[in-house]
Amino acid sequence: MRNFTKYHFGGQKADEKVLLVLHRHWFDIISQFFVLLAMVFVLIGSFFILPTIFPDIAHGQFTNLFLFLENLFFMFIWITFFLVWVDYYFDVWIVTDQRIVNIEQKGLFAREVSELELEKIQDITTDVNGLIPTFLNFGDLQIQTAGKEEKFIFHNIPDPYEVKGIIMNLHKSSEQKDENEFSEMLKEKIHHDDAV
Amino acid sequence: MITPITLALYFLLVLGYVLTYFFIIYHLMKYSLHPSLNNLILPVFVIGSVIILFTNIVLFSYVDWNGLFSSLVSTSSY
Repeated sequence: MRNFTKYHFGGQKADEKVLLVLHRHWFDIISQFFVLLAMVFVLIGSFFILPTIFPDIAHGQFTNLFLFLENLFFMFIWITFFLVWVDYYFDVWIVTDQRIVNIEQKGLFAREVSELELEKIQDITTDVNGLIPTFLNFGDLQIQTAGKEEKFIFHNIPDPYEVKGIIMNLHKSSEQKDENEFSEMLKEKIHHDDAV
Repeated sequence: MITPITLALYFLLVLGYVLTYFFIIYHLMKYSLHPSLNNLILPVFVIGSVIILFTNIVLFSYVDWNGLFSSLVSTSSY
């Protein structure tokens, strides 16, 4: 398992350890990057091909305009690349030893943070659907909860089966911890009553 | 002289770019989960964006907008 000790998020408790940081699988973002890659090809292609078709671009008053428009197009590709990346990178599920935090980044101006305590987990299901997700091993992971927000969904995460196993183990150890605490409390109470 | 409309449109474009630029930096600095990521991505983004913007402003200033518009008008009148 990877080491996530250097990872920190807003609202992290002092005694809370980050165990997993999950982003959508890279295949989910690649379709958007393909569009950007196509734009880069158009940019490079137009830079070399257009002056041969329209000689005025190479030697004439349109040269500067052409260079300006090419640069403007590159500016657009550059900023769009980072917008797509921000949307991907900041859309994250964080599993800690106490809870699961879902941070949903929607563009630059919308950010939704929800959390689920490990004790509230009732059931976990994985859904790997289709040829490419099966081949690349990514899919959805749904957590049924006992809280207000009934379902907690991890969309297109890599290796959902392993993640399911990790969360199940965390849930079990959290329940065990609760039971131990409860039995300790009962023992103390019984001892206290006997003493009285 | 550059026509005021061209200048105003270009100003809006640059403003949009600069605002997006600052919002991306804000996200990278405030919500980044791993410090080493900031050390890599942030300088690349900041320096790259500034260079692109600077070259774009220079190229914009080199374009003979009045000449272009007058040649467009004379072409359309034929």
